[in-house]
Amino acid sequence: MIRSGHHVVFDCVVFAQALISPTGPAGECVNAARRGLVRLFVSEYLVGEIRELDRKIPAKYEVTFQQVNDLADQLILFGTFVHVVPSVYHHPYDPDDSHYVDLAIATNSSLVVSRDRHLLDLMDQSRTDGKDFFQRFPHLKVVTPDNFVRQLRAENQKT
Amino acid sequence: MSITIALSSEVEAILKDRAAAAGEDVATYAAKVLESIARPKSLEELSGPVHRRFIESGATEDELGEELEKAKHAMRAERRARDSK
Repeated sequence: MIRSGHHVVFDCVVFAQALISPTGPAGECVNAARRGLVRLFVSEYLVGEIRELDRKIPAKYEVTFQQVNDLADQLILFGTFVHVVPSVYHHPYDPDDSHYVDLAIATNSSLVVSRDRHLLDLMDQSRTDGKDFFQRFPHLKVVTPDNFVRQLRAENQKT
Repeated sequence: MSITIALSSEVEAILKDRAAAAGEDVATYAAKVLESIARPKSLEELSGPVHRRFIESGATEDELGEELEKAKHAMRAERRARDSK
């Protein structure tokens, strides 16, 4: 069994991917939060992005508004809702990503789980923005769902 | 079972919006929300036939992730355009 006390923030895409492929890495991330194995933080902005994303999901999967809405409604059950998220970080390339960092900082989270290239690039210290990010928030990491699942499994094997 | 609950006008407005978006009346929608709290569906239940369609599409997890990242950025661009009006 996976056991972890991580405080985490998931990108809205992680939830959409979990809905379309519940047995994949994103599904495993969301299920870890559902089982209380990690402490997931959510905000109005994040839930709004999940609901809005519904209109842009490729039509071939036939995801309905109701399915997205049901998943978003469930977040209040297994996530900790944060009502006030101070703006402390401004992403240099994609300002819309800033909130995910802000939410992580506000909740003392150690991980943002995302497939977003702009967020993942913050881990690259050969880049100016990556270096600046590490200096300001050395405890905060951005990882892909695959890497997060791998990390959880590795931690579980040690215990 | 029928219950009567007091809601703030703000919550009432949100509930009405969401019910309308789901094509349901407020009472039906609220009952479904309460049911989902009492007995939350698993991810697999929420996904239903969508998961099968994903498997049948032959797409990989990485390809799905890319499609959804594109969808997210399209959604955000639309939102920015809307907000700037």
